[in-house]
Formats: sequence, C-alpha cells, structure tokens
Amino acid sequence: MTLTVVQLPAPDRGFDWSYVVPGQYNQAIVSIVATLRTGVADGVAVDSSPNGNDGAYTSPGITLLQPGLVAGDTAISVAQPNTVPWAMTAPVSSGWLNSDALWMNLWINSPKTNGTPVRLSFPSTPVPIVFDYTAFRTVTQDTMLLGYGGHEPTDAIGTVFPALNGPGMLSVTMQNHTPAANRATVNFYVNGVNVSGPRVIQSAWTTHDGTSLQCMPSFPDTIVYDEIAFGAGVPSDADIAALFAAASSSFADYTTAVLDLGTSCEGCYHLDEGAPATSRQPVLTVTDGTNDLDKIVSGFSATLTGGPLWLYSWVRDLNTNNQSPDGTVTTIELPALDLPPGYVVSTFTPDIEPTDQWFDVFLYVDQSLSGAGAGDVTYLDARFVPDTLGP
Amino acid sequence: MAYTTVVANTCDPGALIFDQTVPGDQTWTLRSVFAHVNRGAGGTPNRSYLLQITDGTNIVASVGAVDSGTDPGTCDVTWSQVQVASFGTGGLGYTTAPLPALTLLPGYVLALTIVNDVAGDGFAQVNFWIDYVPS
Repeated sequence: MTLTVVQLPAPDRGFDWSYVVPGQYNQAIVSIVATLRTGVADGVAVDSSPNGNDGAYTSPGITLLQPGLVAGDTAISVAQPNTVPWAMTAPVSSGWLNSDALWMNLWINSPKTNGTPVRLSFPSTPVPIVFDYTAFRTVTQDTMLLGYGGHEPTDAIGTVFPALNGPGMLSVTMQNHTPAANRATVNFYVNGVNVSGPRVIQSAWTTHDGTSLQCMPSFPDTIVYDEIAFGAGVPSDADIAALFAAASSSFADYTTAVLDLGTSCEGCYHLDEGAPATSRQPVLTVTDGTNDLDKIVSGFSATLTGGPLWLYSWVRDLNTNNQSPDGTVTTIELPALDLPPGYVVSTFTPDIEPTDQWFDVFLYVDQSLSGAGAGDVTYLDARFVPDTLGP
Repeated sequence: MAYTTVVANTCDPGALIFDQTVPGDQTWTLRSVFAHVNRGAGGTPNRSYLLQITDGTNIVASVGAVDSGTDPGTCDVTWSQVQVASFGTGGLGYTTAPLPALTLLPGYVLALTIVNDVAGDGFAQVNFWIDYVPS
C-alpha cells in the first residue's frame, strides 16, 4: 500500500470536480479537501441594470475586494500601465445615447493630488463626437470634463473625471442637447453636490451608434473604481444628493436609488465580483461509473456570513459532521471508500452558480496495484436478482 | 476471498417496497445502500424511508431515513457509514442515514420501504454496494 496525494485540475467555472480511480490501482480514499470560491467571475463585470450587459475587465492589474463606495460593498483596484488602455469594457444599448438627456456616475479613490483624469466613454463610429472641453478647464481640478476634443479622440462621447485626491462619487448630467446648435447643458457633481452649476457646452454631437462602454483610468496609476452607472433622463440636484446619501445608508438603498435614477439606468456595474456569497451544499457522490452508490451531504444550511472561499473536507471516523461558525469550513464524515479502477468520486452541487469555482482539490489515497493479491472486483454480478420489483 | 460488487436494480414504476435476498451461496457485508425515489405531491412532512434487514423471518436491524426537499420531486437516499444529514433544494432532496455493520448470511433479506407514501411515490433505482464471500 502506498499513501499518496492526488491533486485534481480545477474544473471549469460553474462545474463540479470529478475523480476516476485509474485503471491500474485499487484506491482507498482516506480524505478529500476542496475549496469552492463563490461569487467570483474572473474578468467579468456584472451589469445589474435590466439590460444585463455584463462587461469584462481588460486590464491585467485588477484587484478585487477593495473597499468601495458603500460600506461593506467592494470595488476593484486598477493598476494601469500605459500599454493597456481600458480597465473595463461592456456592451451597451445605444439608444439612450441619442436622447437629449443622460447621466453618468462613478466612484473612485485615488491617492494622487491633481491626478490625471479618468474617463467613461462610449465609442461612436464612424460619427465623430467633438466637445469643446476647453471651456471647462477652469473647473477640472475639482470637477470633471465632458467629451473629447482637440487632441483627444474624437470618436466617442463620454465623461472625463479627474483623479481626486482621495475618494469621491462623481456624477454628470447632460440635457437640452441641440445638435443644430452644437450645444448642451451639463452639471457636474462631487459627492452629490453640484460643483459647476448648469453649463452650456459646445459640441458636434449628432447621432451616435456607440454600443460599448470603455472605462479608462489615468495611467500609469492605481485607482479604485466602484459603482459605474449611466442612464437616460436628467436627475435633479436633489436626486444626485439622494443617491450619495443612499450610499451612506446601505447597499440595498444605493442600488434602488441608482436603478431609479433619471428615466432609466442603462448600465450599472457594482464591481463587487468577489463579494461574499452564500456557501453551497455540495453532495459527495460515489459511483461505479454507472450506478450511484453514495450521495453524502453535510446537513448544514447555506450561509452568508463567510466566504467567498469555502473549504470542504471529507474525512473518516468523525463523531459528527461539523462546521465553523462562519460556515467557511465544513467537515463531513467519509465512509470507507475502497475503490477499484473505474469508480468515480465527485461532487454534485445542485446550487452551484456559473461563476463558482472549485479549486485546490486534493484526495489523500492509499493505493495498491489492482489485480492478483488485491482482491477481484466484479461488476454487476448477474446472479443477483431482486425478489420483488413492484408495489 | 472477498469480492466487491454492485447490485443495481431499476424498479418498476410505483414500487413502494423493494426486497433483496442474499443468495444462498454467499455472505454479504454492506458498503452502502442507495435509493433514488420518485415522490408525489402531499407526502411532506410525514414521509420517510426504512431499510429493514431480516434473517428471512425476524428483524435484525431497522434504519430509517428522513425525507428532504419539497414534493413532488425526487429524493436520493444513502445508507452508509456516514452521519445522519439531509439537504433539499426545491424538488431535489438528499438524505443520508447510518448503515449497521452486519454480516448477512445466505437467505437474509434487505427490505426498503417508503413510509407514509402518497400517490406518485415509488422507488426508481436501488443499488447495493457490497463485499461478499462465496460460501
């Protein structure tokens, strides 16, 4: 007999792990440990708006689980090199861009003073969008810029936010767009306060065909982002103030406020991938390759207190299954599993989510070569016929 | 020499009782008993499952298992060397119960029963994972 540790490759996200006893061995499974990470979607930024336009993190310098706008909520940190232009991109519904009223909102936390601006933009090609933002240079240090002009790209509409010295929720509204006159009225907000008053800008804004969002941090820099959102309609000063106040109340209140802002919320990215989610309830399953032999459950309910990492351990000779108070460690009794080749040990997790990820799956096994001396294994002996098959 | 094997049985629809007799030329030790049960509506919360072992006449062991999940649906019941536990998510139920360490002589009978059954209940699959020694 040889004791050995078998590490399984991580299965695809949203799928359970599975182990087949290899053909040359009989194996006694001594213990199993596996970790499940919930609520994390590497590279995916979930859109909480009714449009469901999930985005993607495109920068390699993304760090999840950073403190964000709302207490207890999380954000992303972006360490942006010069060579990677976008921290995040997402598809959008373009119709709202052609309305005469829209809003954009995000929260950032920057360590820099007078940092270079960050921006949200909606590429619109081939129609060029040109804003004369020079008129706003007077307010850029404490507010933000809108649109691109001059030396900036001229193929997108968007908001350019300055990197604040510290955290801040930045909002902008635009209304009364009159393409013929190349004019629109904008208001800029920091932490719910209108810092610009209504300002008329010049633009060559005509019709947009933009179907994507690009979020760009200042570069090279490291900035924390949270709560990217945009929509149609013109929230009032009171609406923006209420949105910021809701962020101080609770995540639920903020979510309600942002989804109700203006006449519609077209995109809402909480950027809280990696936030704690409920644990799952995996069922350890043993089969002979065809027939179910064991389906072992822990008996514990899903919990919200821990995570997003959940360690499951199946071991022999427990007096009782047990679980840590925060639910992050669950230990389950493992029956004697002396398995011949072809038998399968796996988890079946009925409540697994597409973004869940099993990893670090280890089986501690006591193995011997199958065949002579190890005991013969006979599958589905035909002599066994049940006495009754009916009611 | 001991042998290990699986006795797998697909049951007739609506089977409320399932019996398995140890063949006359063998002695069994149970590793696990697994049952996949179809459940009709109305059995919650009184339904349960019973594994009973007799020598052909007298009961030598009897182990119950609780139901889990909402019905109608299914429940996977495992008797094994594990702790009593259950978990249900919607119509899917999973439940485990201990398995006695017994040597079953030729002619012994393993009987599975759905207790407090309702219309639509029935065993769909019953599998015995055993070690046996030819007599």
